[in-house]
Amino acid sequence: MKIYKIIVVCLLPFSLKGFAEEPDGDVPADTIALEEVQISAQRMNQFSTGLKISSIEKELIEEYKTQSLAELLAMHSQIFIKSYSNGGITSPSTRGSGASHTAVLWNGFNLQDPMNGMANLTNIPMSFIDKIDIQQGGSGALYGSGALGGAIHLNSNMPYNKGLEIKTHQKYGSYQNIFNAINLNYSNQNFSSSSRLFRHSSQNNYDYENIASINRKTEKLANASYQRFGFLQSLKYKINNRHEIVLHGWYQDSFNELPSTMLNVNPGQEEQKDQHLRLTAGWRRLGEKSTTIIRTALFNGKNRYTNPTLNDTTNNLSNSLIAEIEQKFQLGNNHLINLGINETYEKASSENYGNEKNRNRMSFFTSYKIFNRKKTFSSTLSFRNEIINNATSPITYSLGIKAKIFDWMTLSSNFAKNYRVPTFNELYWGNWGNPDLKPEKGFSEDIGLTLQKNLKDHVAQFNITIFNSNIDDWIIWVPDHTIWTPKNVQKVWSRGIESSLNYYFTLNKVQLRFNASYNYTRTTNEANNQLMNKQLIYVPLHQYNWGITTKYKIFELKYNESFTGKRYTSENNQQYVDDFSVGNIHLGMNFNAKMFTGKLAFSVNNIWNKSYQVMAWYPMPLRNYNIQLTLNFNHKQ
Amino acid sequence: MMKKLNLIGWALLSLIISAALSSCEDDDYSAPTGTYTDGVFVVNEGNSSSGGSVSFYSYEGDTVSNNIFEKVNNRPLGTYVQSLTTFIDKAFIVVNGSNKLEVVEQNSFKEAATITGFDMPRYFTPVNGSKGYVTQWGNGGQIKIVDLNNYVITDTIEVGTGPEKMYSFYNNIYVANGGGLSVDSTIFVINTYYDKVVDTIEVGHNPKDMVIDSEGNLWVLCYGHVQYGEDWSVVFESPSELYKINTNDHSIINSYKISDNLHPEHIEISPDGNSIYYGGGFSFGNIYRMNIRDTELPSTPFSDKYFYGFNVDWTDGTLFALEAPDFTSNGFLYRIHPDGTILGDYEVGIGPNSIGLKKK
Repeated sequence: MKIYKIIVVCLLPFSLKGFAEEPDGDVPADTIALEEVQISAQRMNQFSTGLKISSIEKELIEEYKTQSLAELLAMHSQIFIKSYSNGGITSPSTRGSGASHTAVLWNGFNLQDPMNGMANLTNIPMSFIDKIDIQQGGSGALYGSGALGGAIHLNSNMPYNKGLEIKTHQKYGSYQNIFNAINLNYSNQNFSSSSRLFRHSSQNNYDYENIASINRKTEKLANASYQRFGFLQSLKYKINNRHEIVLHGWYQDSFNELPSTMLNVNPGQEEQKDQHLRLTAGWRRLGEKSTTIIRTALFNGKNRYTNPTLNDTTNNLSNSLIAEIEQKFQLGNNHLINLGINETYEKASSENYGNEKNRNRMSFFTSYKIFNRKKTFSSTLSFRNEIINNATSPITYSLGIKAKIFDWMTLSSNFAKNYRVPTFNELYWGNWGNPDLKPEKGFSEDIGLTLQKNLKDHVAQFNITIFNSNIDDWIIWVPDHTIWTPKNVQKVWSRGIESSLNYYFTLNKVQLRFNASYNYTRTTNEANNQLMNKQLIYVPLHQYNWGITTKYKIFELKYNESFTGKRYTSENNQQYVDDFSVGNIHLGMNFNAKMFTGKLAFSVNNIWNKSYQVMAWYPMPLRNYNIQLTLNFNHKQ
Repeated sequence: MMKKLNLIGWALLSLIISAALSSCEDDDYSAPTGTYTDGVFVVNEGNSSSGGSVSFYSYEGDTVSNNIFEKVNNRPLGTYVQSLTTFIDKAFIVVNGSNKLEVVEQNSFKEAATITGFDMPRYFTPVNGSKGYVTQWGNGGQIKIVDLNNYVITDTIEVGTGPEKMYSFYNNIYVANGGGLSVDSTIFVINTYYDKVVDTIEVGHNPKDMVIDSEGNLWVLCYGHVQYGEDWSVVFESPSELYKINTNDHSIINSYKISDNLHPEHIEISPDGNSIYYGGGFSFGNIYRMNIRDTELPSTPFSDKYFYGFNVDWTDGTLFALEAPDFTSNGFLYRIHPDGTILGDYEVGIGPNSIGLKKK
């Protein structure tokens, strides 16, 4: 409780300044300016009324071009990123939910693996992404299974009429961390192409203090190297003012050694290789009052895991074929209707399953939005019904409201029923998978307040959201006399507060920016057993980050800090990993020539040299350094 | 100027928040309480997210103190604690998932050494004051010989697949080749003077545990073998069995089928050496007691609870039985009188599997 008071006190001097003018905070505008809408982002932009969505600033995306999505989110979002080593495997946890409860949507298609329900955020290079929107809170009616806790929306930006653009990103850092990428973009009036290539590797053999060893020896992390490369080709073609086609093809090869914990005195030997091919195609027709989108995707994933100690090699293969048709109409000046069908066919095979497994999922979804002429009030009601292998699962729905009470104040609220269908591992793994599992289901509610003030030299934004969510039939593996098997037994109640603050101002050519966010997440086990009312493992109660950016002429200096409170590691809350706070400094220099622009930057990560762990007994690196160079060539014909 | 001050104010307030947050942390550690002189140690395997631990049951207070290794040494014990064996003034703790043998002072539980170089170690048995054996699953099944003066591995004896418990008898040590993740059906006999395998006894599938009775017969508990097919259905399952073996010529005196599809994991003996107890394990519900001269297995169980492991106190015959209801919440220790009366139950750590006895 103490913490609320502190936050309130902190925010008080700020709010006293008063707010006036200018609309809209971090929630995307409810615009129906059709030209601006991307094929993939339509639903998020127009029908996620009342949901808490925050966009990652373009500048931050640029700063992280030589890193992965995981690293950006760990420092700058309110999602807890579970990381098993620096640059190693990660998974997101939103509002206390599990690793398979945050949908990761790439140009509108869900990247969560059908086998384990996860999306490894380290395997998403930032040089392939142009836009990130983070949605906290469930939205099953809009995005289907998996979006129980939240969703991360990743989009490519492909403008027309920009001529030829060549971008290179290079990084060299501690532990032989080497990143190279080149983006080749070309566009004219009705055609746009973007070719992107990257390679990233690191020995990742950092020193750490082994607090589990007899004399707290300093040791070098072993078996933690990684190596990834990938290619992304995107094409967009405007047939005429009404018709447009978009194609994306992404191939990536990722190799990760998996370090063992510091509890194990032997170095790890496990490793994992992932190969992904993702192809998508979309067509859009724009009418005066209606839009049609037809799109399809083919995702192919290969994962090979080896553990020489156990003489174990497992090959996991998955294929998803997705087809979707969506029709939007505007009725009069105040109503929007969206109707759609999604058909997803998933197929997977693995030594762990015996034979090949497949599943057919068909969803019908619809949204109805009403708004006033000034667009200061809007409300959306959505439904989705999914049929899995001919069996109907319960209908999910959501209702959202957003109202601009004053020019400087917006209220939003959302109520949603969400679900997650079991993964193939949960259904079919070995002799222990449980084919009778039901989908997990949950309800989430939130209410948010956004304040925004724009003055000549100042911009100030503040958001506070109170949320509540319940997940029922949460699938966990439990012992059942002779075996461990997944069952729909966990009941979880999560509630808390999220707040964020942004403040920009310019003073004598010096641009300054301050940002901070804080979240409080109480997530408890509600199943009637010995563990009732205990906080779930790996859900930090407190999390905050803050940063200051200053810019003067060609120079920029940033300091960011991210704090994660203690996480319990045992379900009975008797063991935990300590809280940690990481501070990073970034010094950049921008240079401009006629057709060239560039940036040279130097970063110090973990500047206070803290010894910490995100996941218990997996050490993270001490102070480390890197230097980055970005070059930009632009020639407009 | 005003604005600049604001910024500094923000920075300060952020610092205050950090300070306030860190002061909110409560301190779960309490100072080491007393010593561990009169009681038994309980081995708690733990699970993959929270490591294993050792608890101590004290006769005097009739109470249990948990997590004593971490309390005393201010560091975790490790993942999947498999066994604890007391010898002279030390306790040897085999930490399977961490691939190490932790040596501590028996009375204070203070760390003495960490022995490394193992690959999936299981059990420790002292041979004499200067050497001990450790079974390990790694490298196809081995015994690592440990120097008890310098706490290093000095030599390796190749044994069968998945070696588990050992039983010391005169100059021999019997090793149960439990099959690990596949199958074996042998007991190796090792001469401890030469550290050589001198004989092999064929028994049923996957022998895991042994005792020697008052008449010098070796009783071997065979778990049986369960084999899964391509689609993970059970394609082969052999019964669990009990073998009675003459220790002079290693001939089989008798064998008994326990069950076709239930697989007990433990066997213990009463202090007088006249009764054996068998049962317990991950999937076996009961404990049975049998007189060593009986020629048929008992039909009614001594206890019908699900115990993950149990041991018999060789001083008074009390059973220390461990219940692990799941591997996420704490388990329980039950003290059971040889007449079947439950003398007490106590909350211990996660996944308790056995106890390490101290001399009273």
